[in-house]
Amino acid sequence: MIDLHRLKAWTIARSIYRASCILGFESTQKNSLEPYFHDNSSIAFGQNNPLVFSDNGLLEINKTPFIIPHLLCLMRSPYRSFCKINRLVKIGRCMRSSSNDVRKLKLLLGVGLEATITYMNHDPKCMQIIGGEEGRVDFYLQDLPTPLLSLMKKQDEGWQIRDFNAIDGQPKVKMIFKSVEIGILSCQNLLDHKISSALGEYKILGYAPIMEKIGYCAKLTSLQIPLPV
Amino acid sequence: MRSRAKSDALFVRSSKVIPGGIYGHLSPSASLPRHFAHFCSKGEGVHFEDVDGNEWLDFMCAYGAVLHGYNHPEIEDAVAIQRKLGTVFNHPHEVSVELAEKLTDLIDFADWAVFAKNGSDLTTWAIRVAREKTQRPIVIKARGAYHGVDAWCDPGMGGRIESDRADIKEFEWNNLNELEDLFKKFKDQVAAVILTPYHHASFAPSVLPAENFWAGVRKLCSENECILVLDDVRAGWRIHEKGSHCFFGFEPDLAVYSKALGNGYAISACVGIDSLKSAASDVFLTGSCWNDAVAMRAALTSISIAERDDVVNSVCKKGKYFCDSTEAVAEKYGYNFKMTGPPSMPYPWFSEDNDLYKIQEFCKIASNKGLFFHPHHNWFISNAHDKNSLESALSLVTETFDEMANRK
Repeated sequence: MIDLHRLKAWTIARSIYRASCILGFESTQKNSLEPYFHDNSSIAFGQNNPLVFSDNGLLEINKTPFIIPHLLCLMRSPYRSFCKINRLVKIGRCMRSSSNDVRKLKLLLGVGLEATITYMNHDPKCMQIIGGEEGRVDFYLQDLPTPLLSLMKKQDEGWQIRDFNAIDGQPKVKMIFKSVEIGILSCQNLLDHKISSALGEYKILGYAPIMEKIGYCAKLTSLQIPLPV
Repeated sequence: MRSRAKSDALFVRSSKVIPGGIYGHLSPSASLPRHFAHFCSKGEGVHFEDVDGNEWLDFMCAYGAVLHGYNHPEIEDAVAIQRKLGTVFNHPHEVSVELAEKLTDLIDFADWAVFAKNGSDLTTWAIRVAREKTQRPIVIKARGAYHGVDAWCDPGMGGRIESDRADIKEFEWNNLNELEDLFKKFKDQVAAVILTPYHHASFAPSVLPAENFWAGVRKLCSENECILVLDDVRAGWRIHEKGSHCFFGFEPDLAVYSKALGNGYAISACVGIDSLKSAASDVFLTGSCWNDAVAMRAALTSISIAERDDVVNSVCKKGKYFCDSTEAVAEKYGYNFKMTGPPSMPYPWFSEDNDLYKIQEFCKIASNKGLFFHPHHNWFISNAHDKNSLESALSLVTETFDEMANRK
C-alpha cells in the first residue's frame, strides 16, 4: 500500500510512464521511464541508471517548464539521464501540443486513465466508490475497429491499463467517442458528460454503472492532479 | 430512427439552464440517450407523445407514478373540482383527514398517516421516527436497494461525506444469517430495518423474498426491539390493494407509499402503528406545499378507483399475460429471456447478459417501433393497458425479437 501523502507524486510518475508507453518510448527496456520508489521522498524513473526526482519536484510538474532531477543520478550516468530528460521534454511537448489527432487523444486518455486507476487502486475514497467492480472497460473512437485503450481488473489484482492484443472477449462496458475532438475535450474535462451522452457525442454500451464510477473517480483525481496546460 | 430534432433542440436549451439538462432517473444518460426522446408533450391512457410528435406505447408509466393511465378522466375531474377550491392554504384542507382515514381503514396495521411529496421525504422521516422511538442510531438496509435521494441512501456519488452513512449497515437481500449477524454485532444499537417488499434494484433482475424471509426479518426485528420499515413506494398498489406486506404475509411497523398513490400527482404517505404515533409527532415534518389538497384529492380518487375496479388484480393479470407472452416469443427466437419480479412490474432479463448488451439492443430496436421499454429499470403495467394495447405491444415485441435474431 502506498503512503497516501505520496499518492499524488506517484500518480504523476505513473502517468508519465503511461505517456512514455503510448508514445512508443518503452518498446525496449533501455531508458525506460517506469517509476519506482527510490526512497521516502523521491521517485526513480527506470531501474537501471534511474533518473530521480523528489516527490515535491514532481508535484510542481504542472506549474514549471522544467523540474530538476537529483544531481547524483545525472553525474553517475549523464548520457542515460540526458536521454530520459529528452523523453520527458518530448512527452511534455506532446501533452501541450495543439494538434487534434488520434495520437494526441490516445496520449491524453492514457495519461488521464493511468492517473485515475492509480487513485482507484490506492485512494480510500476512490477505492470505496469503485468497490468490488471488476472486468474490462474499452475506450473506442467511432469507426475504429480496435479500442484506443482498455482498463482491466481481475479479482485481487488492481486496475491496470492493458494492450488490446493481450485481451479477448466482450468488455464489461464500452465508451465510444464520436470524434477525436470530442475525445480530447472529454479527456481535458471540458465536456459535461451527461449532456454529451444525451447529445450522442459519445456512447456507453454495456454495464454503465461501472463507467459512472470510473468517471467520478476521474473527476476526483483531476481535482487533485490537473492535466498540464 | 424516429425524429428527434425538437427533443435535441430543447435539450440543448435545457442544458444551458438546468444542470445536466435533465437530472435524476430521467437523465438520458441513465437509459438509451439516442433512442428515447428527451421531452414529452402529452399522454393519454397507455400512450404518450414526445415533443417531435412521435407516439410511444408506454411500459414505464412515469416510472410507476401512473397506475390508471395518463390523464385519467375520473381523477382529472376530481382534481379539477378541488383545484377550483384551492390547493395549498394556511391550514390543511379537510381532504387530508379524509385521506388519512382512508389509508388507516385500508391498511390493516396502520393507525395513523402523514403526507409529503416524494417517497424520499418519508423514507428518511420514517427512519428518524424509528430512531426517536428506539433512541438508537443504526439503520439496516439491503445492499443495492433504492430508498430515495437523501445522503444516507442515494445511488449517486456526489455531495456526500463519510458520516452520512456511518450508521447505515447493509446485508444481502434474502440472507437472514447476515442480517442476524448485524443484529449481534450492533446489539441494542439498531433502530430500524428498512426494506422494499421484494428486491427491485436497477441494472439487475428482481429478486422475490425467499420462503420465510419476511417471517425471519419480522422475528429478528421484534426480538431486537427494532422498527421494521416497509418501503412500498414503488410496489404499492401494484401487488396488493392493501399494501404489499399483505401479499407477502408480514406486518411492518411503518410503511411508506408514493408513486401509484396519486396517479401522477406528487404525494407520498407514511402509515404506522399506534405505538409509534408519539415518536412520529416528535419528529419534525413539513413542507410548504405538502398539504396539497389537489394531490390528496387525486390520491383519494385513485384509491377509490383501485378498490372499485379491483385494479391490483387487473394489472397483475394483464402483466402475467404480457410477461408470459413475451417470454414465449423470446423462446421461439431462441432467447433465454425472463420477466423477473411481480408481473405487474416486471424486470426484463436475458440470461448470461450481466453486462446488459442484449437488453440494451432489445430496447433500442423496440424503441424504433415506438415501444417504451427501459433496459435498466423494471417496467410497469397500468390499468389502462388493455387487450388492444397489449396485443399491439406483443406484435411489436415479436418484430423486435425477429430483428434482433436476424442481426446475430
